[in-house]
Amino acid sequence: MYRRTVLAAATATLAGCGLAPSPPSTNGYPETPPNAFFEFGWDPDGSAYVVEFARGNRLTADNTGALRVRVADATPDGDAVTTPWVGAVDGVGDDGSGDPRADFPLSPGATLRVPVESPGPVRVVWVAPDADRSRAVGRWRRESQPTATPEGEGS
Amino acid sequence: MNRRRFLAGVGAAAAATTGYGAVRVADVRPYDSGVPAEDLGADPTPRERVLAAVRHLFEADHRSVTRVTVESDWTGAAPYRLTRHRELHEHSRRRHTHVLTTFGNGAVRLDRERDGVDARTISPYATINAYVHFVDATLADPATLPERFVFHVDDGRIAYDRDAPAQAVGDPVTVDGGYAGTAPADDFERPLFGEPVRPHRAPWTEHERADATVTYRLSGADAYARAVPLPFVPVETIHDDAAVRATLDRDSGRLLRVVDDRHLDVDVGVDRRDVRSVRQRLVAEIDRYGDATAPRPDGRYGGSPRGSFLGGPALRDRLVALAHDLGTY
Repeated sequence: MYRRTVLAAATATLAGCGLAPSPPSTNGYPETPPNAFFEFGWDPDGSAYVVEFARGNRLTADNTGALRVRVADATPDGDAVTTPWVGAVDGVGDDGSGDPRADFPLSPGATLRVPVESPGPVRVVWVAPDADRSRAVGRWRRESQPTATPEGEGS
Repeated sequence: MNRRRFLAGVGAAAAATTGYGAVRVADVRPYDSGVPAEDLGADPTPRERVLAAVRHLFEADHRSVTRVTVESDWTGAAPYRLTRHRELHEHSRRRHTHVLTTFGNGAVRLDRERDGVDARTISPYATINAYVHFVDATLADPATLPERFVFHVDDGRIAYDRDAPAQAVGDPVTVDGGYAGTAPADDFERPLFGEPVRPHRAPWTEHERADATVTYRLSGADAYARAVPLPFVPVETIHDDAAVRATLDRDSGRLLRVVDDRHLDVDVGVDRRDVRSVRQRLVAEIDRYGDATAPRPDGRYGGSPRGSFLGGPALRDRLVALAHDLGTY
């Protein structure tokens, strides 16, 4: 009786523990999010932004949850319009903007047309696979483009 | 007789369980991380060699020291020393220690006083903890620099000092007082260092070969954009002379040195319309493979010497770590 109790308790205690400690692994590599750089254009005839994935890492389901293009002040009422480019993350960004316009993988050279009524500031937003973080990876304002300042010339 | 055997069995079981738990809690887990050369095929490309060497950093105990110099910028003050980042990674015991030192904030401060500037602009760091430190430093009074930040991650907790004492690269890592503390951490298994080279498909070429080492080089805007993590920098342009050199041990394939010549046009304006050019050189030296250790930094934590078992956050954190170790491993 006692023996069975002890054996049962010992089994429960050790359940879930492997016999050998788990060694370090390389599963954490890479730790940083993928790079993605974008170029923007405005098509006045089609009233649409044209966004090009200019250079960077190939975006896959392993390194990206979603990529979205968000245009502020995109309607006469001043509303923003978000267009899902690739990927989808459950419970995030469920704003009725439809299915992603492309499938993984997304490689440099890919382009996306974003029709809008009004060409407000545009951002490309990358979302992590677990949807625990996001960041703007590209920004553009049609009405005022930046001008590069040469090195060593203070301004 | 039966009773004695039964008691002996109970004692043996208790001893085995206690010993097993002690081994787990003490993180005694001998392992051989091997070397990158063993995982490669017969005729690996330079890119495959470099990526294997970088991946190896995630499993092999090692030390890395990265020094960053601003080679040119728009202030006229370049070249100047920007940061130093010492990392001790003891993967075999899931312990990682970082010492970040930021020496200068001239460029950011200059522009902030004029019309504001995004402090992320020239951050060379790739992780959120380091980024927070860099922003603190760039907004600080220059007279208070260099600013030092220590953080240490192990099972279930993080220990930190946002105003750490001066310490040389070869010194033990220490903390001191009022800005030092500990806290539970959920994401403690990540090394939190940000690899110097990401997985990518751009080609590397052999740049230099010596008796014991070989150096590979990658250059050009497209290749650089694929290979180098730039998570916190709003980059407008990568210049074609941006390049990375990686030096490997010829026998083991281990990464010894990375030189990242960064040449970017970055948007520094608070209104995102102010683009400037900056050159940085990031030099990472990696050594002490297999014997680097990352113990919890010595010193005072929130007025309590190294955290007391009798009270304060240290006891809570130790219990969290103990419960995690027993429950997970």
